[in-house]
Amino acid sequence: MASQNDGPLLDALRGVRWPARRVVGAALPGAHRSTQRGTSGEFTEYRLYRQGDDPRQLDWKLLARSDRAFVRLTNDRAVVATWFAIDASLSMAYPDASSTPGGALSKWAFARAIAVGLAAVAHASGDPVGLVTTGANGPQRLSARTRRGTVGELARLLDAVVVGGAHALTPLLSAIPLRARLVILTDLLGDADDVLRVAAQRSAAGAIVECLHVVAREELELPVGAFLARDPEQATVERTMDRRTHEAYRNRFDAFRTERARLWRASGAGYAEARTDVPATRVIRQLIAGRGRDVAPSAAESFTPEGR
Amino acid sequence: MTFASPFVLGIAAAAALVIAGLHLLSVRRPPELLLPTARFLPATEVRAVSRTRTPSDLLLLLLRVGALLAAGFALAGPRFTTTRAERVALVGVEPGVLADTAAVRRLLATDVLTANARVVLVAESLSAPTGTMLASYDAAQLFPRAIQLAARTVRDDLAVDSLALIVLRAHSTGSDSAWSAWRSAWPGSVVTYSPPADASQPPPRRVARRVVLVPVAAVDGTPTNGSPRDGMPPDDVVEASFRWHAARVNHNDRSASDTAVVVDSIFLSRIPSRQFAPRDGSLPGRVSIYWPLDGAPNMGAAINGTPANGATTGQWRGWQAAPAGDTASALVAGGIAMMGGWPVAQFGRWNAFVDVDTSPNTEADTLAPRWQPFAWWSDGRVAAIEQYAGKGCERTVAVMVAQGHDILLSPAANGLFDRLLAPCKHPASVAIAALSLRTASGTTLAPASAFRGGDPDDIMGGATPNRVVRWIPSLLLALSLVALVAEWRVRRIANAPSI
Repeated sequence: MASQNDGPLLDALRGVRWPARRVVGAALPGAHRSTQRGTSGEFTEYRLYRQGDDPRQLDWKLLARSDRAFVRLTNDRAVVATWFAIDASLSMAYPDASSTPGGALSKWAFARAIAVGLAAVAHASGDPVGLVTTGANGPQRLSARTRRGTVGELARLLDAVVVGGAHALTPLLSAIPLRARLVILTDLLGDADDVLRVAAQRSAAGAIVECLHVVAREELELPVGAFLARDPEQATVERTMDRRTHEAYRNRFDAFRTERARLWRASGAGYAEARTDVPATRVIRQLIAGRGRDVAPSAAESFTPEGR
Repeated sequence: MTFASPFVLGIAAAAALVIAGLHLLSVRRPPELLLPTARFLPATEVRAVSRTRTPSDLLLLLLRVGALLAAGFALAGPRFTTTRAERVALVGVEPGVLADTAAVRRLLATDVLTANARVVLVAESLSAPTGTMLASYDAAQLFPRAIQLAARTVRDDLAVDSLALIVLRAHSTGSDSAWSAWRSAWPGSVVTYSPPADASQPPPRRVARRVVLVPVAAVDGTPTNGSPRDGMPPDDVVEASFRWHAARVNHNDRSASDTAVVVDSIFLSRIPSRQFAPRDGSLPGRVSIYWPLDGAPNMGAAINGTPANGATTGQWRGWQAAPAGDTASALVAGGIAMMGGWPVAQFGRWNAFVDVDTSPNTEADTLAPRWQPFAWWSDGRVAAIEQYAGKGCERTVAVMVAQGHDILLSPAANGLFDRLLAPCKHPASVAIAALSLRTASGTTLAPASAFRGGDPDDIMGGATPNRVVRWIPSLLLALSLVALVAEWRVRRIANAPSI
């Protein structure tokens, strides 16, 4: 079972299906279109019988009427393992709820909610759900499973993660099966280039890779006043931040996000920006609908946990 | 309160404002903020100007501003004045003028410059030298004493705004050249009161008087060796002068009525002082003159203390030895000064008289003490006195005249001999009521500021406020130093690294 805080989220996602963006390979029967033509009940087309075809696929009624042997072709359905690779570096802990007015949700908490929601959706379709992450308490891995309670187990594992450090995400990706659907939740402030390279390789190999770029609202709207901004993962990076530097910051950050989106999409992977001021359910639904790239907060949306 | 250098205080105030401004515009590191996307901020100077509405280090600001203002206040030379202005009339009374404070106040009540002014007698307020009760005939002594007294007055009393110098002169003759020279030293007008020109003349008598000089060896006329002249020096210039002046007086009295003639015997004794025996009394109306050869009358007695080395310790009454080398420029008697062209050394001034009995007199403008001076040296010291004994009187002259000198035959000696040959209780001094305004050099009072700002012991300088006020700049400087030390200490504690 997921934690009680995840209840509203899971309820909001009940009945949602998350089909794979492309056909999947041969696997156990599932909900996703497969590259295999098999024996499913969903008719696709006829084809002349060729030697070697399974006689059970012959359309005997058509053979009787036309004396020609046709086999019924159907698109196969298969499951696809969905793996979540979540960045648990120290930058994901921003903003700190204790030091932020109103207790803003951190990027980690937001990524966790999205992961739990997507896992629930995938698991509801019978897909195995797995998880890799690494934080201050070391790498964490949950093998892809379909059994009941997997989502809760995944949620508990995420709760046990101590966000911190500056560990690279790339080494964790090598342990994920190539045919799995890989969902990467990261702020792209760590080893983003390496992750992109791996994602491109997987996409080229036919794997499904989705990148959810988690961006905090506080990163888009800098606080007013003069501060000495320090990168939590790189102590040498410290910049003066005041009203005069806000515009330059916005320009640079916008350019960074645009470039990242272009690179990820060019690699064949899916890319969506998940802003923490957008409810997690909306992010999930739009990601599933394939419109994740334009997810933006509406004026009426708020940060209330119930709305996620 | 005023400042000698107000611009110094202005500079200090401006510096304090700058310090306060720097506190509000402190350059320091801004608060730290953890921002994962800090790399997208432009690389600028880490230090930034942080403008704060409230001073961050209020104690430091107070100490710094306080030190600056205290130092500026001290260096600006604060002067504390009061709004209550008071005028002071410094009154110098020449010997020969019967004056006390009440009489002087009555005289000055009608004066335009000195009405409602506080009256201060110059001689009374000073630690008078031996034999000096009143001011001097000598302007060179009167004016410095008046200026010194003015400086002390404005120093001790901050309310004093202006001062007037009034001189009550006992005679109306004589040269004013010395006065004119000294008047420039007084930063204001000098008001002079003096008697009319004929004030020194004896009042007209209905009875003519003949004076007969009787030289005697003893004042009481008792012959020691059978002859009254035994012991008198031969060819004495003093005796000769007496005879000459007695003839002059008798000749002048012929103008009076001849219906009755009174013959007065003037007994003159010239024996040395050591052989003179004081008497208990004199015959009624008898005038005895004791003029010792060496000018040293019988010595006086110390009431409290013992004279040592010619100086007086304690209260001394009588004659005593004058300091060695002490001289005076003139001898004044009867409103006439014997001076000019005569060597000062001719007047052997070896003795003086101190502590004249000045007990209050019940009769206005008259003086009837046991001792009454009638001749003074130009510095105010008594040279001759009249002592009442019984119904007669005895006159003692403490003046030595070199044998063969004819100064006593000059007209300048008329004043002295008129007094010596006059009957007992003949008025020797001028009543203050007889004085009238003579001259007034200018109409402005001397400002008190003219006597402030200098060394208080400087006779020509000014005065500073009282002792407490005088220490205020030093206290402020010390306070400034303490504030600076405290600021350094506080700053050191504030900047100490925390473990």
